[in-house]
Amino acid sequence: MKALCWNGVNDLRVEHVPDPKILNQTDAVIKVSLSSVCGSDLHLIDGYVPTMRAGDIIGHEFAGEVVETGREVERFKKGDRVIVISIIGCGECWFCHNDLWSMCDNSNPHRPLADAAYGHGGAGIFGYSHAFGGYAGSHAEYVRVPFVDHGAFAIPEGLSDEQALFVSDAFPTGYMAADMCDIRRGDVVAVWGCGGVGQMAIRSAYLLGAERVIAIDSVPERLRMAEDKGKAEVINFKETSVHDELMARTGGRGPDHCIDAVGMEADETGVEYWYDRAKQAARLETDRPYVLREAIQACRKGGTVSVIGVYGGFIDKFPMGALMNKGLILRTGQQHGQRYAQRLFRHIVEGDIDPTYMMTHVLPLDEGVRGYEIFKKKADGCVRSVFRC
Amino acid sequence: MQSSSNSGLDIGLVVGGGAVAILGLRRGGPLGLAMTALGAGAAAYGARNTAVARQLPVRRALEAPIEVTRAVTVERSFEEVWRFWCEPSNLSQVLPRVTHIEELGGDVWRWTADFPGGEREWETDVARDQAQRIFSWNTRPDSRFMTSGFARFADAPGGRGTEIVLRLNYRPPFGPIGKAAGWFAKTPIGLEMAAGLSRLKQMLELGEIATIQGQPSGRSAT
Repeated sequence: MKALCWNGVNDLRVEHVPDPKILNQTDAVIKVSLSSVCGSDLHLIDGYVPTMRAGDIIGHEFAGEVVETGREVERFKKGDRVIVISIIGCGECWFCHNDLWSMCDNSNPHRPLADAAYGHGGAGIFGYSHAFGGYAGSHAEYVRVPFVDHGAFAIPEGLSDEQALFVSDAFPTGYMAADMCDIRRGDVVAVWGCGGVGQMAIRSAYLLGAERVIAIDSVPERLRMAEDKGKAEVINFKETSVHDELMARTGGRGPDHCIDAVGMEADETGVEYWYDRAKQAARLETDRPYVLREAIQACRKGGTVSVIGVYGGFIDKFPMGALMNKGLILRTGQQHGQRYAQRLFRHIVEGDIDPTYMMTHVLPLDEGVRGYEIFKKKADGCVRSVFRC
Repeated sequence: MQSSSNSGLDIGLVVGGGAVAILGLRRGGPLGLAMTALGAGAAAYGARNTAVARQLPVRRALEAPIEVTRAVTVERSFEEVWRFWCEPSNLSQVLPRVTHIEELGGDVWRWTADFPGGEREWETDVARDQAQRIFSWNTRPDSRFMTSGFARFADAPGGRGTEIVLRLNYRPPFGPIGKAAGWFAKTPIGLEMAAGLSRLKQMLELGEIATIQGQPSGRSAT
């Protein structure tokens, strides 16, 4: 089959590889119909996530059709149309039983490696480095899905694959970012980053009761999408001081909740950006935490800073004093998609949201490399490149 | 071989080794550096039984067996975990490097394992104390190397299943050099023990072991 493989920093290629097969009896093989790029893939491509191996198939957000199931699979059969949550949960450990799926104890075959890095390793993730299990990703014609009874969700009658696709990753990730804020009526939520996850965080904040959402980015098309589709107020960080603008728009209180949907490769103008860039290049810090600092600084006293953008290693100049003295709540995590999938499908079926608008560029898998180029450069108004496999 | 007083050979090593080390320092360059290292090593080895050396933490660490501990919580009852643990074929499936365990009777187990140098076999006495919830083993006195350890089981709080603490003690062969190497091996051994406990947990909680062996990649491109 054809698959998009990572071969080194900024070196992706579409290659012919063997078809996947059932390895454990709780597996299924899915024929991929749509597979989306994700901002977190850029960290792999740019070389900020260690433990990638040349030849790894990337991609973790996908929809498709079940073509083969292991003997112990109970919920699915050949021909079922499904989306699969990007993060793999075994369904049987304490964390899965407690709806903390991305912390699954058993789905990562390389747990000890991740334990060594983080103290405790998290779940396996499709196409997301060997520290996260080394599972082959979904930018391929077929993908093997372990623990399919827990990770796959049947696409409801009447929804297209396009409408359902983002329930795999971007929608639950954005939804969880908003959910972690415990939003109350009247709250103002600020969202840094208007990529796919940021767009979904904006919509989710409203679904969960926010009165106003303020979105921050610098790409005009993304800000326009946040305004038009997300009904957010927007701030272009290249044109104004984000902090001053947020204070002006919230009567000096600051947003009640701040969502970091950017993560480790934050862009910013000014000296601080180059400070972090230089330290990152010299490997004195692995991640550029500009957005995190700004969010902590801006957040209303006693408010929530919800970190859903991906960080990988170490950061510098973390404003612990502000976090502590303002009594902020810091919440984080990879998404627990299994917890949210049915709820999000209901929102789509009931017409509250149709996430297909994020699918700005649809290309055949053969053009996977170009799809990532467009996405990485944010060229041509790209929010998401999606591959037909 | 432990001796309580310094032998003539030891004194010779200290004096001779010291002299070679000083000559190496005076000479300089790569050869001088090698002489210094070799001389200092010989002198240190000669001084190993002196009263001062005996107090050094490094020396004490070299003499004690190397100890590695890892722990895991399994969401299963003690009885279920104990039953699994006491069955040699289960253990050989999850423990690192171990390919086969045979019960020889009289609480003696023969272990077969794959190591970089080739396959190795050894025998241990095992003690199963279900009441105290401890399973321990010790290599037989005639073994070429020494390893012992235990697995201790306890109920996890809040009905979270069973906590397992696994401790491995080992005394590598080849004297101080082997011990130094064994000390550095603590990290990889700890990783392997953690991997073994993780597989054990998966077998008990899932009945299978998560794997990527046999999946496609560009490394196996056709």
